[in-house]
Amino acid sequence: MLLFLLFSNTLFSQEGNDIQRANIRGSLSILTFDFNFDDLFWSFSAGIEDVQNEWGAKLNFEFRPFKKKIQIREDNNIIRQYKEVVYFISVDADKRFLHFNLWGTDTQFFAGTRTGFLLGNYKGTNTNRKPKFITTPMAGFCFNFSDEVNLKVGYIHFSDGLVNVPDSRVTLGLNFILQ
Amino acid sequence: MKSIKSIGFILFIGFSFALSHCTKQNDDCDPDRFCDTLPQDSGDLTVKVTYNGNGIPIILYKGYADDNNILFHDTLWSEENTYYLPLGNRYAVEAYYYEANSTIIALDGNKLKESSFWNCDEECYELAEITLDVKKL
Repeated sequence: MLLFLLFSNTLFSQEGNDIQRANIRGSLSILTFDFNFDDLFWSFSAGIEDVQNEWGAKLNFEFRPFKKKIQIREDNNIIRQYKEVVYFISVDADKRFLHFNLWGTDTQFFAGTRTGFLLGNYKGTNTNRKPKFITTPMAGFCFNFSDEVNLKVGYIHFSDGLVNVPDSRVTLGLNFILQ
Repeated sequence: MKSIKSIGFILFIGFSFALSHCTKQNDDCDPDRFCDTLPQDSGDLTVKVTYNGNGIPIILYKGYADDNNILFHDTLWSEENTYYLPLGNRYAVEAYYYEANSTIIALDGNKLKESSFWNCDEECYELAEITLDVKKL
């Protein structure tokens, strides 16, 4: 959304930009999950999709839908274990490229990133999780079921600083491109 | 337009599931069911730890741990222990696991709230229980 606001002037200010305008559509995702064997995040995002140039930008809210025991190293000798509630607010940008047929479905590669702040709190204390600015690169396959619906499956490197949760995750997201 | 319909359908399914939990039955009545109509002033707080043969030191706090309002220290010699404590308060517990090169301090907390249910238009009080799980990962 932020990118949309920043670039909308450039995109829409020139004459004869009706085609360009038509290529920018809204996009919405309510069923996106980033997970591995130790953790799971559920994400909601909304933004824009340039269907001609095949890139998208969204504002994303992601959270773990349960309280999870996590460990954080406080110093060389102390590890703190908490039950954590965590949120990730980010701006997503991704680019799709190439087209090939996989299992009868138009498929593309995608690469992108989520950049934002990881926030949270712990049970039993007033102390909140220290806000952490992270960038989570991701890449994978995008299955275009139609002009309006696609499924992205890929790898995301989610470095949230937890001792007991690996950074490598699968990202799985159903996206709707609005007309 | 098709995508909006799809999104609407998914949201409808989601809200249907959510609302199905809100349709509480208020007309339940079992005259044979025991009903204690006197409110209780205390409840059970169970602390669960990972017991490995050595005593596990714990600190129980009233409120949040960082308020540092310590109720008592204890050492657990089993997987769990239960304490009878006043209702309406928040409690937090810290368990200390001493290992060769480090100490793991596990924390959990919750509020011990009154517990009741309705039966034949009477409010029946029951023992309030919470579990604070400070088992080591």
